[in-house]
Amino acid sequence: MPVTNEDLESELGYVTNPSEQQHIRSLWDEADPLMQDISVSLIKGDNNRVDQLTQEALEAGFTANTILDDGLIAGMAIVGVKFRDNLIFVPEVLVAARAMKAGMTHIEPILSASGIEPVGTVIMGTVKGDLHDIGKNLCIMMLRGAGFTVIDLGVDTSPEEFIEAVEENEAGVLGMSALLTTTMPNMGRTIDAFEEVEMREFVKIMVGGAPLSQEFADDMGADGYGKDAISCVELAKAFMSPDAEHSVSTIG
Amino acid sequence: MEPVDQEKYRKSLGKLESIFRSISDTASEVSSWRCPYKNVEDRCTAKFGCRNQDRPGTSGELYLCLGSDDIDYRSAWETSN
Repeated sequence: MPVTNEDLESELGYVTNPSEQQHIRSLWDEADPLMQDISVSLIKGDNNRVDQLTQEALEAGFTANTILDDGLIAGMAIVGVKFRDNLIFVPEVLVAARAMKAGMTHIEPILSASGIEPVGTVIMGTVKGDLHDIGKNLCIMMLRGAGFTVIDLGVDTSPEEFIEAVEENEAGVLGMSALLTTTMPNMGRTIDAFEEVEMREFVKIMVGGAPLSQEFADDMGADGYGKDAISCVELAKAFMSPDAEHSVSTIG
Repeated sequence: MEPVDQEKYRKSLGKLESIFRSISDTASEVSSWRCPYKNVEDRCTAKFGCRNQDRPGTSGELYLCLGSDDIDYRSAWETSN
């Protein structure tokens, strides 16, 4: 079935490379118009509409696989191209990722019922005193895309809030972000707080942020340092592997 | 409700991861010349203060970003709460 949604056709117009456009267009070759609607809503970052349409699609009998492939991921493919070509920027990508999460909220219970459990649970937050969150948010987007459940504590997170979230969600991994040299020491204070409540051995802690380095991460006693969102995901995966005790402390 | 085809799902995750890897690479490259908090309409989405923020036109609107992409934006970020 060709693309019939005018808005989607218009979005495809942003993909200027002919072979790339042909490839991306083919993602909807067998897609129902409802899937095209989901894709367009995701590209526009309309999380309420994605939420509603995903629910409708499931009620209409579409499988979770179909909605994921033909609706959500196909839409995200265009978001990726528009971002690469500087037609949109990080805030728009994150809004699209939020819309994707709205759709995934309906898919996740079906995954679970089908025996597909999350890779693991990760707690993420920017440390106390720091309000910079874009790197953390990109990490969260990528972790969710890799099959992790992520609890986002937001910015300005105290050690107590990190501890409570790890305990409450039985999370195996904690990720902390800081962008300021003045707030970086709060990562170490949080790690110390985990030691004080005797929870340190139950959680792997990874840290990231522009002013950080492997040396600083090692000094504060973190289990890993991620220089970007990709290495954050690779660290989290390494922590969840059966031989996690021997996992690397830096990736990327 | 039809269960999820696990093999298809694994392939889907692979596709999504590939898209997100490309996004992460682009984000690193773009942030070398443009503030990552500045949206496509040159509005600021940051939760912190920045000297490049201009007052919004109407209440509820995001601040307009007055920063030039030719100048390092980090020096304009307010570093205290």
